[in-house]
Amino acid sequence: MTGHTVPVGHCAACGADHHPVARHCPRCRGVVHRAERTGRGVVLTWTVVARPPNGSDVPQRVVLVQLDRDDQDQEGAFVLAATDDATLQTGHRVDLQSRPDGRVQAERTA
Amino acid sequence: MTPFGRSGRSPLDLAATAHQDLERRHPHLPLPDHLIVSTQDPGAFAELGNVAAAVTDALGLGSIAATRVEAAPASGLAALEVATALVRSGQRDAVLIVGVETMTTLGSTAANQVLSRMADPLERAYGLTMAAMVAFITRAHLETHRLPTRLLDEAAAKAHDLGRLNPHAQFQKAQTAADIQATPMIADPLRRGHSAPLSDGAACVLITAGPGPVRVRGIGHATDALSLTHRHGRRALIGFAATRNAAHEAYTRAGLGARDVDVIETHDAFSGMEGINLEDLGFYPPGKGMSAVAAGATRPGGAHPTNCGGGLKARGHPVGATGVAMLAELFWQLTGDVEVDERAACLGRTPRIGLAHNMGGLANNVCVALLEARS
Repeated sequence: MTGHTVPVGHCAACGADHHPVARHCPRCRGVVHRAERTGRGVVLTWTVVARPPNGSDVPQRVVLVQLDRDDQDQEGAFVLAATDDATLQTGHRVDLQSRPDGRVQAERTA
Repeated sequence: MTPFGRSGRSPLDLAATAHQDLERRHPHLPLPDHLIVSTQDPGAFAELGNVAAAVTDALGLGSIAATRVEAAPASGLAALEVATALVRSGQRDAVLIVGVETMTTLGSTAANQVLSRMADPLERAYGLTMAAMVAFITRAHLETHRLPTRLLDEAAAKAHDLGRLNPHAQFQKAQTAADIQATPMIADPLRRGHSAPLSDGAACVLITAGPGPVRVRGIGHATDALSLTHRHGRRALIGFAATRNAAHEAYTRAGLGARDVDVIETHDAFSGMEGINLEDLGFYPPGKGMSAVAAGATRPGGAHPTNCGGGLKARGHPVGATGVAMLAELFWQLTGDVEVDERAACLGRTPRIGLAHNMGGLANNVCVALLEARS
Protein backbone atom coordinates (compact mmCIF):
# COMPACT_ATOMS: atom_id res chain seq x y z
CA MET A 1 0.00 0.00 0.00
CA THR A 2 2.11 2.92 -1.24
CA GLY A 3 1.65 6.07 -3.29
CA HIS A 4 -1.84 6.90 -2.02
CA THR A 5 -3.06 10.44 -1.61
CA VAL A 6 -5.37 12.07 0.95
CA PRO A 7 -7.59 15.07 0.16
CA VAL A 8 -6.96 18.04 2.45
CA GLY A 9 -8.16 21.61 2.74
CA HIS A 10 -5.39 24.10 1.98
CA CYS A 11 -5.70 27.70 3.12
CA ALA A 12 -4.68 30.27 0.53
CA ALA A 13 -4.17 32.86 3.27
CA CYS A 14 -2.08 31.14 5.96
CA GLY A 15 -0.89 28.07 4.07
CA ALA A 16 -2.14 25.57 6.66
CA ASP A 17 -3.56 22.18 5.67
CA HIS A 18 -6.44 20.48 7.45
CA HIS A 19 -8.51 17.30 7.22
CA PRO A 20 -11.37 16.70 6.61
CA VAL A 21 -11.90 19.62 4.24
CA ALA A 22 -13.82 22.42 5.96
CA ARG A 23 -15.71 25.43 4.58
CA HIS A 24 -13.21 27.87 6.09
CA CYS A 25 -9.66 27.48 7.32
CA PRO A 26 -9.96 26.30 10.97
CA ARG A 27 -6.83 28.28 11.78
CA CYS A 28 -7.52 31.72 10.22
CA ARG A 29 -10.97 31.53 8.57
CA GLY A 30 -9.31 32.01 5.16
CA VAL A 31 -10.54 30.65 1.83
CA VAL A 32 -9.98 26.91 1.47
CA HIS A 33 -8.93 25.06 -1.67
CA ARG A 34 -9.00 21.30 -1.95
CA ALA A 35 -5.57 19.72 -2.49
CA GLU A 36 -4.15 16.21 -2.60
CA ARG A 37 -1.27 15.29 -0.30
CA THR A 38 0.79 12.16 -0.13
CA GLY A 39 -0.66 9.63 2.31
CA ARG A 40 2.68 9.37 4.10
CA GLY A 41 2.88 10.55 7.69
CA VAL A 42 3.73 9.74 11.30
CA VAL A 43 1.54 8.55 14.18
CA LEU A 44 1.30 11.22 16.89
CA THR A 45 -1.11 9.46 19.25
CA TRP A 46 -3.49 6.50 19.25
CA THR A 47 -6.12 4.65 21.24
CA VAL A 48 -8.14 1.44 21.21
CA VAL A 49 -11.86 1.86 21.91
CA ALA A 50 -12.95 -1.22 23.79
CA ARG A 51 -16.66 -0.81 23.06
CA PRO A 52 -17.49 1.66 20.28
CA PRO A 53 -20.83 3.47 20.78
CA ASN A 54 -22.30 1.83 17.67
CA GLY A 55 -22.79 -1.26 19.85
CA SER A 56 -19.93 -3.26 18.35
CA ASP A 57 -17.92 -5.45 20.71
CA VAL A 58 -14.94 -5.35 18.35
CA PRO A 59 -12.21 -3.09 19.76
CA GLN A 60 -11.42 -0.27 17.35
CA ARG A 61 -7.81 0.93 17.03
CA VAL A 62 -7.63 4.51 15.78
CA VAL A 63 -4.48 6.55 15.19
CA LEU A 64 -3.99 10.29 14.78
CA VAL A 65 -1.44 10.92 12.04
CA GLN A 66 0.35 14.06 10.90
CA LEU A 67 0.81 14.06 7.14
CA ASP A 68 4.18 14.91 5.62
CA ARG A 69 4.53 18.19 3.74
CA ASP A 70 7.20 19.06 1.22
CA ASP A 71 7.49 22.62 2.51
CA GLN A 72 9.20 22.19 5.86
CA ASP A 73 8.03 25.51 7.28
CA GLN A 74 4.42 24.29 7.41
CA GLU A 75 2.99 21.55 9.60
CA GLY A 76 1.06 18.78 7.91
CA ALA A 77 -2.62 18.14 8.49
CA PHE A 78 -3.81 15.91 11.32
CA VAL A 79 -5.76 12.89 10.03
CA LEU A 80 -7.65 10.20 11.94
CA ALA A 81 -7.26 6.69 10.58
CA ALA A 82 -8.42 3.22 11.49
CA THR A 83 -5.94 0.38 11.48
CA ASP A 84 -5.93 -3.39 11.81
CA ASP A 85 -2.29 -3.35 12.94
CA ALA A 86 -2.26 -3.98 16.71
CA THR A 87 1.41 -2.96 16.92
CA LEU A 88 1.01 0.52 15.48
CA GLN A 89 2.25 3.14 17.96
CA THR A 90 3.38 6.72 18.32
CA GLY A 91 6.31 7.54 16.06
CA HIS A 92 5.62 4.84 13.49
CA ARG A 93 5.61 5.84 9.84
CA VAL A 94 2.37 5.05 8.02
CA ASP A 95 0.75 5.25 4.61
CA LEU A 96 -2.86 6.41 4.57
CA GLN A 97 -5.54 5.41 2.10
CA SER A 98 -8.94 7.12 1.82
CA ARG A 99 -11.99 4.88 1.82
CA PRO A 100 -15.16 5.57 -0.17
CA ASP A 101 -17.07 6.20 3.08
CA GLY A 102 -14.77 9.14 3.92
CA ARG A 103 -12.79 7.32 6.56
CA VAL A 104 -9.06 6.66 6.22
CA GLN A 105 -7.10 3.44 6.74
CA ALA A 106 -3.52 3.39 8.05
CA GLU A 107 -0.83 0.82 7.30
CA ARG A 108 2.68 0.82 8.71
CA THR A 109 5.55 1.43 6.34
CA ALA A 110 9.19 0.56 6.77
CA MET B 1 -27.69 20.64 45.84
CA THR B 2 -28.81 17.03 45.70
CA PRO B 3 -26.55 14.08 46.29
CA PHE B 4 -25.11 12.92 42.97
CA GLY B 5 -25.50 9.32 41.82
CA ARG B 6 -28.14 6.93 40.57
CA SER B 7 -31.41 8.50 41.78
CA GLY B 8 -34.31 6.94 39.86
CA ARG B 9 -35.89 10.42 39.97
CA SER B 10 -36.96 12.87 37.28
CA PRO B 11 -35.01 16.03 36.42
CA LEU B 12 -37.90 18.15 37.71
CA ASP B 13 -37.94 16.31 41.03
CA LEU B 14 -34.18 16.71 41.43
CA ALA B 15 -34.33 20.39 40.49
CA ALA B 16 -37.02 20.99 43.12
CA THR B 17 -34.98 19.18 45.76
CA ALA B 18 -31.87 21.23 44.97
CA HIS B 19 -33.93 24.42 45.22
CA GLN B 20 -35.36 23.34 48.58
CA ASP B 21 -31.82 22.70 49.80
CA LEU B 22 -30.81 26.23 48.75
CA GLU B 23 -33.79 27.74 50.58
CA ARG B 24 -33.07 25.64 53.68
CA ARG B 25 -29.48 26.84 53.81
CA HIS B 26 -30.39 30.47 53.05
CA PRO B 27 -33.99 31.15 54.18
CA HIS B 28 -33.91 34.91 53.54
CA LEU B 29 -32.81 35.01 49.91
CA PRO B 30 -34.65 37.43 47.58
CA LEU B 31 -37.12 35.85 45.18
CA PRO B 32 -35.65 35.32 41.73
CA ASP B 33 -37.02 37.30 38.80
CA HIS B 34 -35.38 35.04 36.20
CA LEU B 35 -34.64 31.30 36.12
CA ILE B 36 -31.83 29.86 34.04
CA VAL B 37 -31.76 26.10 33.63
CA SER B 38 -28.38 24.59 32.82
CA THR B 39 -28.87 21.21 31.18
CA GLN B 40 -27.20 19.43 28.29
CA ASP B 41 -29.69 17.02 26.77
CA PRO B 42 -32.84 16.39 28.86
CA GLY B 43 -34.70 15.45 25.69
CA ALA B 44 -32.41 12.49 25.04
CA PHE B 45 -31.68 11.54 28.66
CA ALA B 46 -35.17 12.04 30.13
CA GLU B 47 -37.63 12.75 27.27
CA LEU B 48 -38.15 16.23 28.70
CA GLY B 49 -38.78 19.27 26.50
CA ASN B 50 -39.61 22.92 27.20
CA VAL B 51 -37.39 22.45 30.20
CA ALA B 52 -37.10 26.05 31.42
CA ALA B 53 -40.87 26.40 31.78
CA ALA B 54 -41.13 22.92 33.28
CA VAL B 55 -38.55 23.68 35.98
CA THR B 56 -40.23 27.02 36.71
CA ASP B 57 -43.44 25.13 37.41
CA ALA B 58 -41.70 22.44 39.43
CA LEU B 59 -40.07 25.06 41.66
CA GLY B 60 -43.29 27.07 42.04
CA LEU B 61 -41.70 30.25 40.75
CA GLY B 62 -44.86 31.65 39.21
CA SER B 63 -44.59 33.59 35.98
CA ILE B 64 -40.96 34.75 36.07
CA ALA B 65 -38.76 34.72 32.97
CA ALA B 66 -37.09 31.39 32.28
CA THR B 67 -34.35 30.38 29.87
CA ARG B 68 -32.33 27.24 29.14
CA VAL B 69 -28.59 27.65 28.61
CA GLU B 70 -26.64 24.84 26.96
CA ALA B 71 -22.91 24.58 26.29
CA ALA B 72 -22.48 20.80 26.58
CA PRO B 73 -21.01 19.95 30.02
CA ALA B 74 -19.89 23.60 30.32
CA SER B 75 -23.54 24.64 30.58
CA GLY B 76 -23.24 25.48 34.28
CA LEU B 77 -20.62 28.20 33.97
CA ALA B 78 -22.16 29.38 30.69
CA ALA B 79 -25.34 29.90 32.71
CA LEU B 80 -23.34 31.90 35.25
CA GLU B 81 -22.04 34.10 32.44
CA VAL B 82 -25.58 34.82 31.21
CA ALA B 83 -26.98 35.32 34.72
CA THR B 84 -24.18 37.72 35.64
CA ALA B 85 -24.75 39.72 32.47
CA LEU B 86 -28.49 39.96 33.18
CA VAL B 87 -27.86 41.24 36.71
CA ARG B 88 -25.01 43.59 35.86
CA SER B 89 -26.97 45.12 32.98
CA GLY B 90 -29.81 45.96 35.35
CA GLN B 91 -32.25 43.76 33.47
CA ARG B 92 -32.77 41.47 36.50
CA ASP B 93 -32.26 41.71 40.27
CA ALA B 94 -31.91 38.03 41.15
CA VAL B 95 -31.29 35.16 38.74
CA LEU B 96 -31.64 31.59 39.94
CA ILE B 97 -29.45 29.05 38.13
CA VAL B 98 -30.55 25.43 38.32
CA GLY B 99 -28.22 22.82 36.86
CA VAL B 100 -29.74 19.40 36.36
CA GLU B 101 -29.24 16.16 34.42
CA THR B 102 -30.45 12.58 34.81
CA MET B 103 -28.19 10.21 32.87
CA THR B 104 -28.58 6.83 34.52
CA THR B 105 -32.04 5.75 33.42
CA LEU B 106 -30.99 5.21 29.79
CA GLY B 107 -28.33 2.62 30.61
CA SER B 108 -24.65 3.07 29.90
CA THR B 109 -24.63 2.14 26.19
CA ALA B 110 -27.43 4.52 25.26
CA ALA B 111 -26.14 7.26 27.57
CA ASN B 112 -22.68 7.06 26.02
CA GLN B 113 -24.25 7.28 22.57
CA VAL B 114 -25.93 10.52 23.66
CA LEU B 115 -22.64 11.86 25.03
CA SER B 116 -20.77 10.89 21.86
CA ARG B 117 -22.98 13.33 19.92
CA MET B 118 -20.70 16.02 21.30
CA ALA B 119 -17.97 14.79 18.94
CA ASP B 120 -17.51 15.63 15.27
CA PRO B 121 -19.55 13.29 12.99
CA LEU B 122 -16.40 11.89 11.33
CA GLU B 123 -14.88 11.12 14.72
CA ARG B 124 -18.05 9.25 15.63
CA ALA B 125 -17.80 7.32 12.35
CA TYR B 126 -14.53 5.84 13.65
CA GLY B 127 -16.36 4.60 16.75
CA LEU B 128 -14.67 7.18 18.95
CA THR B 129 -16.24 7.90 22.33
CA MET B 130 -15.54 10.95 24.49
CA ALA B 131 -13.18 8.73 26.47
CA ALA B 132 -11.34 7.89 23.25
CA MET B 133 -10.96 11.54 22.32
CA VAL B 134 -9.53 12.31 25.76
CA ALA B 135 -7.34 9.21 25.43
CA PHE B 136 -5.62 10.77 22.38
CA ILE B 137 -4.74 13.84 24.43
CA THR B 138 -3.77 11.89 27.55
CA ARG B 139 -1.43 9.56 25.64
CA ALA B 140 0.20 12.43 23.74
CA HIS B 141 0.67 14.35 26.99
CA LEU B 142 2.19 11.35 28.80
CA GLU B 143 4.49 10.42 25.92
CA THR B 144 5.58 13.99 25.14
CA HIS B 145 6.57 14.61 28.75
CA ARG B 146 7.83 11.03 29.35
CA LEU B 147 5.38 10.44 32.20
CA PRO B 148 4.24 7.03 33.50
CA THR B 149 0.59 5.94 33.19
CA ARG B 150 0.50 5.27 36.96
CA LEU B 151 -0.04 9.03 37.35
CA LEU B 152 -3.57 8.48 36.03
CA ASP B 153 -4.22 5.87 38.72
CA GLU B 154 -2.90 8.15 41.43
CA ALA B 155 -5.05 11.07 40.25
CA ALA B 156 -8.15 8.86 40.40
CA ALA B 157 -7.23 7.61 43.88
CA LYS B 158 -6.79 11.21 45.06
CA ALA B 159 -10.27 12.12 43.75
CA HIS B 160 -11.86 9.17 45.58
CA ASP B 161 -10.00 10.01 48.78
CA LEU B 162 -11.57 13.48 48.79
CA GLY B 163 -14.96 12.26 47.57
CA ARG B 164 -15.22 10.09 50.66
CA LEU B 165 -15.49 13.31 52.71
CA ASN B 166 -18.27 14.79 50.56
CA PRO B 167 -21.84 13.84 51.52
CA HIS B 168 -23.02 14.78 48.01
CA ALA B 169 -20.47 12.57 46.23
CA GLN B 170 -21.49 9.58 44.15
CA PHE B 171 -18.44 7.62 45.35
CA GLN B 172 -17.73 7.86 49.07
CA LYS B 173 -15.27 5.02 49.44
CA ALA B 174 -11.53 5.31 49.07
CA GLN B 175 -9.97 3.49 46.12
CA THR B 176 -6.26 2.85 45.83
CA ALA B 177 -4.19 3.30 42.70
CA ALA B 178 -4.03 -0.50 42.54
CA ASP B 179 -7.83 -0.67 42.60
CA ILE B 180 -7.98 1.74 39.68
CA GLN B 181 -5.27 -0.16 37.80
CA ALA B 182 -7.37 -3.32 38.06
CA THR B 183 -10.36 -1.84 36.22
CA PRO B 184 -10.84 -2.69 32.52
CA MET B 185 -9.46 -0.54 29.73
CA ILE B 186 -12.13 1.56 27.97
CA ALA B 187 -9.93 3.62 25.63
CA ASP B 188 -6.23 2.91 26.02
CA PRO B 189 -4.60 4.33 28.17
CA LEU B 190 -7.83 5.21 30.01
CA ARG B 191 -9.46 2.59 32.25
CA ARG B 192 -12.98 2.59 33.62
CA GLY B 193 -11.56 3.73 36.94
CA HIS B 194 -10.18 6.83 35.22
CA SER B 195 -13.62 7.96 34.03
CA ALA B 196 -16.22 10.07 35.81
CA PRO B 197 -19.44 8.09 36.18
CA LEU B 198 -22.84 8.59 34.60
CA SER B 199 -24.80 10.52 37.22
CA ASP B 200 -28.09 12.10 38.16
CA GLY B 201 -28.09 15.30 40.15
CA ALA B 202 -29.02 18.95 40.49
CA ALA B 203 -27.49 22.07 42.01
CA CYS B 204 -28.62 25.70 42.46
CA VAL B 205 -27.03 29.08 42.94
CA LEU B 206 -28.60 32.54 43.12
CA ILE B 207 -26.94 35.54 41.45
CA THR B 208 -28.08 38.85 42.90
CA ALA B 209 -27.46 42.50 42.17
CA GLY B 210 -26.91 43.32 45.82
CA PRO B 211 -23.87 42.42 47.92
CA GLY B 212 -23.57 38.79 48.91
CA PRO B 213 -20.94 36.72 50.69
CA VAL B 214 -19.26 35.79 47.37
CA ARG B 215 -18.68 38.02 44.36
CA VAL B 216 -18.08 37.05 40.72
CA ARG B 217 -14.78 38.76 39.86
CA GLY B 218 -14.42 37.63 36.25
CA ILE B 219 -15.60 35.12 33.68
CA GLY B 220 -13.84 33.88 30.56
CA HIS B 221 -15.38 31.82 27.77
CA ALA B 222 -13.76 30.33 24.66
CA THR B 223 -14.34 27.62 22.08
CA ASP B 224 -12.13 25.42 19.94
CA ALA B 225 -12.64 23.45 16.72
CA LEU B 226 -15.19 20.67 17.08
CA SER B 227 -12.89 18.24 15.29
CA LEU B 228 -9.58 17.44 16.98
CA THR B 229 -7.95 17.22 13.55
CA HIS B 230 -8.91 20.84 12.84
CA ARG B 231 -6.76 22.09 15.70
CA HIS B 232 -3.36 23.39 14.74
CA GLY B 233 0.08 22.37 15.91
CA ARG B 234 1.28 19.56 18.13
CA ARG B 235 0.58 21.62 21.26
CA ALA B 236 -3.11 21.02 20.46
CA LEU B 237 -2.59 17.36 21.33
CA ILE B 238 -1.15 17.85 24.83
CA GLY B 239 -3.49 20.48 26.27
CA PHE B 240 -6.51 22.62 25.54
CA ALA B 241 -6.28 26.04 23.89
CA ALA B 242 -9.86 26.92 24.85
CA THR B 243 -8.97 26.52 28.53
CA ARG B 244 -5.93 28.76 28.12
CA ASN B 245 -7.98 31.39 26.26
CA ALA B 246 -10.91 31.30 28.70
CA ALA B 247 -8.54 31.51 31.67
CA HIS B 248 -6.68 34.45 30.14
CA GLU B 249 -9.97 36.28 29.65
CA ALA B 250 -11.16 35.52 33.18
CA TYR B 251 -7.87 36.58 34.77
CA THR B 252 -7.81 39.78 32.70
CA ARG B 253 -11.39 40.72 33.55
CA ALA B 254 -10.79 40.00 37.24
CA GLY B 255 -7.41 41.71 37.41
CA LEU B 256 -6.06 38.52 38.95
CA GLY B 257 -3.59 35.80 38.07
CA ALA B 258 -3.11 32.14 38.94
CA ARG B 259 -0.91 33.21 41.86
CA ASP B 260 -3.94 34.83 43.51
CA VAL B 261 -6.13 31.69 43.46
CA ASP B 262 -6.55 29.82 46.75
CA VAL B 263 -8.85 26.95 45.74
CA ILE B 264 -9.75 25.36 42.40
CA GLU B 265 -12.59 23.35 40.89
CA THR B 266 -11.52 21.86 37.55
CA HIS B 267 -13.22 19.60 35.03
CA ASP B 268 -11.60 16.19 35.61
CA ALA B 269 -14.06 14.09 33.61
CA PHE B 270 -11.14 11.69 33.07
CA SER B 271 -8.11 11.20 35.29
CA GLY B 272 -5.16 13.04 33.88
CA MET B 273 -7.30 16.05 33.04
CA GLU B 274 -6.76 17.52 36.52
CA GLY B 275 -3.05 17.82 35.81
CA ILE B 276 -3.44 18.92 32.19
CA ASN B 277 -6.05 21.52 33.15
CA LEU B 278 -3.91 22.93 35.96
CA GLU B 279 -1.16 23.52 33.40
CA ASP B 280 -3.55 25.24 30.98
CA LEU B 281 -4.95 27.36 33.85
CA GLY B 282 -1.45 28.60 34.66
CA PHE B 283 -0.72 26.76 37.92
CA TYR B 284 2.04 24.52 36.57
CA PRO B 285 4.37 24.60 33.57
CA PRO B 286 3.77 22.11 30.73
CA GLY B 287 4.46 18.54 31.81
CA LYS B 288 4.41 19.22 35.55
CA GLY B 289 0.69 19.09 36.37
CA MET B 290 0.12 15.34 36.58
CA SER B 291 3.22 14.84 38.71
CA ALA B 292 2.08 17.62 41.04
CA VAL B 293 -1.27 15.88 41.49
CA ALA B 294 0.46 12.57 42.27
CA ALA B 295 2.85 14.30 44.68
CA GLY B 296 -0.05 15.67 46.72
CA ALA B 297 0.29 19.32 45.74
CA THR B 298 -3.43 19.51 44.93
CA ARG B 299 -4.53 17.68 48.07
CA PRO B 300 -5.57 19.25 51.38
CA GLY B 301 -2.95 21.70 52.49
CA GLY B 302 -1.08 21.52 49.19
CA ALA B 303 0.07 24.42 47.06
CA HIS B 304 -3.06 24.36 44.89
CA PRO B 305 -6.01 22.63 46.60
CA THR B 306 -8.13 21.27 43.75
CA ASN B 307 -11.47 19.48 43.58
CA CYS B 308 -11.76 19.21 47.36
CA GLY B 309 -15.22 17.64 46.98
CA GLY B 310 -13.85 14.80 44.86
CA GLY B 311 -14.22 16.49 41.48
CA LEU B 312 -16.20 15.03 38.61
CA LYS B 313 -14.40 11.72 39.08
CA ALA B 314 -15.76 11.04 42.58
CA ARG B 315 -18.52 13.61 43.19
CA GLY B 316 -20.14 12.50 39.94
CA HIS B 317 -20.83 14.24 36.64
CA PRO B 318 -24.48 14.95 35.81
CA VAL B 319 -23.33 17.04 32.88
CA GLY B 320 -25.74 20.00 33.08
CA ALA B 321 -25.34 20.23 36.85
CA THR B 322 -21.56 19.93 37.06
CA GLY B 323 -20.65 23.59 36.58
CA VAL B 324 -23.29 24.69 39.07
CA ALA B 325 -22.02 22.13 41.56
CA MET B 326 -18.55 23.65 41.15
CA LEU B 327 -20.00 27.06 42.05
CA ALA B 328 -21.80 25.61 45.08
CA GLU B 329 -18.64 23.85 46.23
CA LEU B 330 -16.57 27.03 45.89
CA PHE B 331 -19.27 29.04 47.71
CA TRP B 332 -19.12 26.64 50.64
CA GLN B 333 -15.33 26.72 50.72
CA LEU B 334 -15.09 30.51 50.41
CA THR B 335 -17.67 31.03 53.15
CA GLY B 336 -16.45 28.26 55.43
CA ASP B 337 -19.73 26.41 55.03
CA VAL B 338 -18.45 22.95 54.13
CA GLU B 339 -20.21 20.26 56.10
CA VAL B 340 -17.34 17.98 57.07
CA ASP B 341 -14.57 19.27 59.28
CA GLU B 342 -11.90 17.25 57.56
CA ARG B 343 -12.93 18.64 54.19
CA ALA B 344 -13.08 22.18 55.55
CA ALA B 345 -9.58 21.72 56.81
CA CYS B 346 -8.42 20.58 53.41
CA LEU B 347 -7.59 24.11 52.42
CA GLY B 348 -5.20 24.70 55.29
CA ARG B 349 -6.06 28.40 55.23
CA THR B 350 -9.05 30.65 54.72
CA PRO B 351 -9.49 30.92 50.96
CA ARG B 352 -10.31 34.27 49.38
CA ILE B 353 -10.23 33.55 45.64
CA GLY B 354 -11.73 30.46 44.01
CA LEU B 355 -11.50 29.38 40.37
CA ALA B 356 -14.02 27.19 38.55
CA HIS B 357 -13.16 25.60 35.19
CA ASN B 358 -15.98 23.92 33.26
CA MET B 359 -15.34 22.12 29.95
CA GLY B 360 -17.75 21.08 27.20
CA GLY B 361 -16.88 18.25 24.81
CA LEU B 362 -13.19 17.84 24.09
CA ALA B 363 -12.65 21.39 25.38
CA ASN B 364 -14.74 22.63 22.46
CA ASN B 365 -16.56 25.04 24.77
CA VAL B 366 -14.87 26.16 27.98
CA CYS B 367 -15.72 28.63 30.75
CA VAL B 368 -13.57 29.83 33.64
CA ALA B 369 -14.93 31.86 36.55
CA LEU B 370 -13.12 33.62 39.37
CA LEU B 371 -15.03 34.10 42.62
CA GLU B 372 -14.02 36.20 45.61
CA ALA B 373 -15.13 35.94 49.22
CA ARG B 374 -16.22 39.33 50.56
CA SER B 375 -14.26 40.20 53.65
